Amino acid sequence: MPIIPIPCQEIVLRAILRRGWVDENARITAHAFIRWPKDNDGLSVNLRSKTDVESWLSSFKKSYGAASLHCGRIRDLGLGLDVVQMEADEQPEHAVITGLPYQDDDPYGAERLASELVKIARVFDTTKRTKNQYQ
Amino acid sequence: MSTATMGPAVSGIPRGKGPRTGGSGPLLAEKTVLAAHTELEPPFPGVDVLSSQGSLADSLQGTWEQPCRSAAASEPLTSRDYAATVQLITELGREDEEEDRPSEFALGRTLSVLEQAARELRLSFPLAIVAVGPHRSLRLLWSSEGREVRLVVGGSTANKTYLYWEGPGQRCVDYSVDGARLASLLRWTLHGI
Repeated sequence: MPIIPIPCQEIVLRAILRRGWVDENARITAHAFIRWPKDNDGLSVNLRSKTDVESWLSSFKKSYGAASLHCGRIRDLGLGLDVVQMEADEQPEHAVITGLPYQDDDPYGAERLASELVKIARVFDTTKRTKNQYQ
Repeated sequence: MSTATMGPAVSGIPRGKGPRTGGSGPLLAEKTVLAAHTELEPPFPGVDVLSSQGSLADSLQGTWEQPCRSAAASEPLTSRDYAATVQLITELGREDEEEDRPSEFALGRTLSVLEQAARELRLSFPLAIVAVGPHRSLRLLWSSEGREVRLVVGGSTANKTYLYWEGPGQRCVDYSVDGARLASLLRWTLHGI
């Protein structure tokens, strides 16, 4: 599948979809960067520059905010991670972090890379939202 | 099987700093005298976590509320953070959507490991950050002073169950998961020993 690299200066947002993905002091935990089976192409993120954050985070059943990551810093980790868009993706704001293994396939790799992403992640938003809460 | 070569030493439990992520901290100041129990009891008496019928979370309702106590010592034998951790896990078991709930297998195995660890750590058992993971696994995390340990219990026997820990210049995956190993890693996380 053709992919489009995301420029290094871009900021991507990772939605915090579960309570344990942040700690009680609003710090991002490694749980937030574990790849799920539905993450076929990679860890799902949104481009900050193209995202209406309020609308995006309110579209999930529950969300607890978002973490931000600088694409250049992800690449600078030198651990085989990249940030790309799939050409076939119909959502122009959507991208994926590639290079993360599944925890069942490679626990060491999955946990280590999650730790590295935690180190460069910043808390972007910590508002708890539920889907259609404003309707 | 271990991925790295170094590991934390197994030793006693010195008093020290609580975990950064650990809520009220590992030490319990409560001094209430109770005469009901003479030894540490399992946290869920009468519940066979691997074979019980119906919702395990429902079976566990209410059982986390009190730390285990000893009449002989006149002090609780397990920390409030242990009870709070079990509560968090129990709450996850009540989530509406199946994919948001840990499997019965993950719940049972996790609670068994935690109970063993709590028997060893007693008042030092720290609060975990708990989340459901892929394939309805359970993921628990403890962090302090640049050290971190994660317990990942797969959603079924087909999924991986492991302990992962990392500190300055070292990290490891350990597939030998039991309460004693977790207790050892939690001592290392909390106290660096």
